[in-house]
Amino acid sequence: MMKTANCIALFFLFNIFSVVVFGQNTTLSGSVRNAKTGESVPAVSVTIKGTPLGTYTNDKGEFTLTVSKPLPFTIVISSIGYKPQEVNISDASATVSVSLTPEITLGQEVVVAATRTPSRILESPVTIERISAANIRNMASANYYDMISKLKGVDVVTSSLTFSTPTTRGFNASGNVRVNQIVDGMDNQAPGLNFSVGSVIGLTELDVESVELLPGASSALYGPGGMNGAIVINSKDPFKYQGLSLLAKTGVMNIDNTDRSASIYHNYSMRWAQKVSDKFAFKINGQLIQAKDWVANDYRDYDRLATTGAIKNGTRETDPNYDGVNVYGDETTADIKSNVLTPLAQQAPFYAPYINSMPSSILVSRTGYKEKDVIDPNTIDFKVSGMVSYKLTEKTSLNAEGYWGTGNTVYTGSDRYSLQGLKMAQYKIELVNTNWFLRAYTTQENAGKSYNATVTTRLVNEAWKPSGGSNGWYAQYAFAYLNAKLAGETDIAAHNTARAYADIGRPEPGSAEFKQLFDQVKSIPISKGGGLFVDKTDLYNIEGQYNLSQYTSRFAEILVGGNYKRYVLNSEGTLFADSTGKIPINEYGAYVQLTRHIADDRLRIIASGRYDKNDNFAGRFTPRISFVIKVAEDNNIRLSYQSAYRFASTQMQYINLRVGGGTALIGGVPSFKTFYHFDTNPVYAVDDNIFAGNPQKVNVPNMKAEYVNSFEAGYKGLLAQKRLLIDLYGYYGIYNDFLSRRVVAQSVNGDASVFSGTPDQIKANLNDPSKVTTYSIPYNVSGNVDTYGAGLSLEYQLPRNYLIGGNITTDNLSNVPEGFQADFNAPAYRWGLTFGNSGFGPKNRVGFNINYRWQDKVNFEGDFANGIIPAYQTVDGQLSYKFPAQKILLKIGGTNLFNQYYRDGFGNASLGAVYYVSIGYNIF
Amino acid sequence: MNMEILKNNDIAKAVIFVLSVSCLASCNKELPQATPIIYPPANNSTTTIGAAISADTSLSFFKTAAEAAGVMPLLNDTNSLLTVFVPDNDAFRLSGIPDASVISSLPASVLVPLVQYHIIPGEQFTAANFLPPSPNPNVQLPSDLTVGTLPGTPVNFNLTTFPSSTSGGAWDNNIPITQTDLKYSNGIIHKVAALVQPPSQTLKQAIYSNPDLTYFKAAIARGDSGQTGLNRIDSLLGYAVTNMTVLAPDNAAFQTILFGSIYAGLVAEGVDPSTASAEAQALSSSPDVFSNPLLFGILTAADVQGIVVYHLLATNQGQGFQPNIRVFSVNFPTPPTFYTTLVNSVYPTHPGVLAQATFAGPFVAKLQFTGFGSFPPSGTPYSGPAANVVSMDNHCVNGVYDVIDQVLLPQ
Repeated sequence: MMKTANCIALFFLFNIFSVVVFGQNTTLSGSVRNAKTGESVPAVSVTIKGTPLGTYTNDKGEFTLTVSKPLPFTIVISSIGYKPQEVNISDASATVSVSLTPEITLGQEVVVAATRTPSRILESPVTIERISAANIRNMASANYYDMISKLKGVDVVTSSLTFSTPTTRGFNASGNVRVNQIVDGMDNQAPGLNFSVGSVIGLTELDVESVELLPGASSALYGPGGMNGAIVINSKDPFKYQGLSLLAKTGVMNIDNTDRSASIYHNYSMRWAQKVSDKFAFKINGQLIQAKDWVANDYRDYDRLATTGAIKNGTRETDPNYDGVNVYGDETTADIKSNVLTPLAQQAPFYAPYINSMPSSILVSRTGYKEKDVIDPNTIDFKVSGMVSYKLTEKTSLNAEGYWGTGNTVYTGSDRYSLQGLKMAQYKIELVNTNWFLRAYTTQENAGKSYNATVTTRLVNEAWKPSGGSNGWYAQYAFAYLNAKLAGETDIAAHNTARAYADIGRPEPGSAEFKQLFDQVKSIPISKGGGLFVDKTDLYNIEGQYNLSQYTSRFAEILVGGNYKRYVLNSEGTLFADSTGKIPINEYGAYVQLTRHIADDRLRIIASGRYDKNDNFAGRFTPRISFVIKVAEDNNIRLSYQSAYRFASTQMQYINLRVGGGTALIGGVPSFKTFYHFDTNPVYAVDDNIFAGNPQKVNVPNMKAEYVNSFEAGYKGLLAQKRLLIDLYGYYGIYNDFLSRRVVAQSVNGDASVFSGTPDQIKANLNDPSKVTTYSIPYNVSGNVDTYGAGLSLEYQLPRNYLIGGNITTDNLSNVPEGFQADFNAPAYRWGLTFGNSGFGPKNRVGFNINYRWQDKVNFEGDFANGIIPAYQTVDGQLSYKFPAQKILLKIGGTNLFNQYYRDGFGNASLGAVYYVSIGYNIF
Repeated sequence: MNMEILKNNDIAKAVIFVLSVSCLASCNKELPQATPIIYPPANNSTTTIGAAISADTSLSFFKTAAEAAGVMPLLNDTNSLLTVFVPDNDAFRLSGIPDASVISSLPASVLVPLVQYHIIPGEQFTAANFLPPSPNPNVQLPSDLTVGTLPGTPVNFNLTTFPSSTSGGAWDNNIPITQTDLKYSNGIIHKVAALVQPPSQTLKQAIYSNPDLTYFKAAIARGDSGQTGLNRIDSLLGYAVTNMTVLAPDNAAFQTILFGSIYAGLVAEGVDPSTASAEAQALSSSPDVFSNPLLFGILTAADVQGIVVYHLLATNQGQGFQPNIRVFSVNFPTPPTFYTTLVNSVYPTHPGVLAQATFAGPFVAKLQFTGFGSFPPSGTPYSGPAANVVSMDNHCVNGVYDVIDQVLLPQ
């Protein structure tokens, strides 16, 4: 491997230094304006016709270009949204002044993600969605990342204000692992926590040039993981987008929130890019978001069984075993009948008939604390990034880039996690040539002082008053319960009297005592009996790509590439099974893509394939073949077969964590089976059989990578004088060896009698860690799980810059084996409407955008909790006004304009409106 | 704003679009809230036990008693669940209380425990729940009368009551239930034929202070000599938290048997019958006979203990024969039936005593016990004369005793 890498490196070096020396120079300068409004146009491409030589206008719309080409020559001035212009240059001393006429841009955008080479979006061989910098400028969302959720076919799961996870085609979850997120060529999945950090670190709003979304299987080009899609985000080139940009957004949120008073939302960003010379440019970015977060406030009662369960009727006052979804500490449950009352009846036999007349088990949970009382509401997201770019030659640049972010946020995994002082950094160095690149980057993760809210709160209860013991909380409760019964109280009244008694002196939420206790517990690592999880996992990646088309174009355009990845898991035994040392995981892969144009480019065939291998998984080849048939100019039919596969996430491989309900979440590498003695002390399926007293032994097989084959057909075309853009698609995906989790149970003492008795007793045993250990184990579902869906979008360009659009999509799951939790979590239908204008009124200074989205109800499944997310709808809107001379853009807007709180993931925060005003300077 | 824009037909459509979206947007469902579990009344009734008692003029005495004892708020409380044994006015009269004014005149120290003893708190038990699980003669359940806390715990120690039911009827302790299972929103009423008196003494206190049982007391002391702990019947009778049934022979019964034994013993020693008769008469005229060292040879501790323990009913509920049942007269069956005794702790196969109750209505009119054994053990069957109960259902904290007119002999 290293030998190959060395050879490749030498090859690239050769290319760099074998360039032609610059000859005699001609320098011309000029400026570009909008023909309609008269405002200067930045970031306009100015190139010498027939050559790759060129530059861009700066933030004042001015350019200077020095070339070695002799006069006369023609320059081409072009920018998305304007008609290109050509200007003949015969006198270098004359200042070139160009007025560009805006034109309809529908369908004219260029995308890269679909084939890793630029092509018009109309001609993409697979479904692709794109968000441009212009879209971001005119967006109604408070944050560019949230725009992804407005794209066709996208679902989002929002854990908290700054933690949203977009997914396509199902299998939605907080921190989805089936969608690759590539930011400036770097995979930004946190290597240890496994969620994509796009909304936590990554690009600042001012630095985003484009977001491209590939729904569906995409690992043929982007590597294992892209089962459900890839999101490719690119930043703005400092050569092209120059100058200082500032954006201040201030808003108000949590209005009419039942659990939090209205609060201010702050979002400030800056970008400074400077082209120092034709060869050297740099940029610096910063963004700070600060707010009081949304609150996860689902206080409904949850009937928990290991990592599954369902909502049931009950409140703290009416269910002694109440376990609120977003109430923590009340996961601790015990049977006071068998633990306290029955032993008492043995000591005091004259009470035995009375005690025996009570139910066979009396489950009681400890008193919990609401999430709002345990998680710091202060959410912060601070990120900085910088890049230097040096043009070694006309075609080759050396770039170094760094992203660093820190913040507080809340994430939903197996439990709710408060990420405090999470730090993520990505550093990259790359050589980029028009034909190839060589890139190395690393992701450095540090979970900071993050903790598991559920576990921590349970431990706070224990620290205040232990559950067990002759004078423990449960003994006090049970005795007080019996006394209350002996005073004539009804059962539920006696429970409430008992709780009030056992809770005497319980630290009040918000009190100094509670805070002191909580802070103490959350600072102790999970491995030492606290709630803190340590995660300092790192990822190292090196990759390269070469476009061989210059040599092979007669036969086909050929692209080859490869990468090597190394994960180093380091959680000090708090998250992974790494208490004895760091765990390295190596992964490598290579890909090739061939593109052939047939019949005068009426048919384009793109075939690609990728091979990947991971230390813990067998190697696998994933092919993709696609056809683009041009049925008419600007009208294309696309057909594709794609495949993708996914090695289990690092957590799926090595996690070793007791979660809130007491279940051990373990990884799938074979050593877990021996460590937990599955071979000598068998595990049983937690299903209907176990409650029927007929437990079924589970032979845990070795984990395999999951695999999907996906077939897609689509049409994209411009109709009605290029004013109507239609995109239509349908897909069918077949998942094999679907990687899921299932719950199994193991008797602590190797005694299977704990799985006998009444269903209630068996359930009580399953929830009793002294009798039964429940494990959530990675599991490949045998047989196929199929998904299918379709989508349609229409965009119509009205006169005077009005644009109206709508879309409807559907995703469905079928062939799900019984008893298997798919975590599909996609609504059967969703639809959206947009209406906006990027510039109207006097000098096109006014803009607005309205976005409506509806989605059907979802039966949401996840490790944290399961339940129904009702159908919901949102309306976002903004109105903007610009001062072209001052380059100022004022905006007033809001998300969820009608402030109707909703949740998009079960157990997650409820989301209300954010109303904001923003002032931006030099926004392009 | 430019008026031209507003004239634009597309804009008008757009406004309609926005308005329609706004209308749509007004109908997101409220976030789902936790749903309380609704606990329906204990029974399909809107009337509480307290209200039912207050409304029934035939229960006015109990209403007066409950009000005076301060338990009416409990009987009216919808957050309570109760089983109440309610004596109607006739029941009060049967128990010697002719009118409500007598109730009002009772001191609280008497009235409050009396009323509380009629209530089983925290649960509702139907007559069907009073079917005793064998070998228990009744179901022991706590009353609302708290007398302390259980040693070593903060749990209240409430005096217990002993309802029972058979195909022939239902009772609380020895008091017949005249009407069962009257269901109200906060529990159940069973009407009883008389007041159910709470016990106030232990068996030891009651027996030792009963002038008809001075020989029995002395016999216990003789039998206990050399014993320790709960092997001492004296200790057992004073042990508050158990259930015992003691068949206590009265003084005359002891005198009869003592006379016989001493007389036979003296004659065997060669004393002439008339002297022996006079001496036996003199010796057996006082309970001190048991502490007379001269007679220790005749009234050996082992023999006396053997006789005493034969008067304590016992069952084996897994830990050997223990004095652990509290049998009221009404709990004895009509057909002659053997009850094992504490003798069985030494001779497990001993048949026990034969008991027979003769009912007059729901009450027991006649109760007899017959000593029944074999001599030697497992040898020739032996049957003594039947003992009549002369004072039944003397209820104590830790059991009940019946005074009988014969000493029962186990062999």
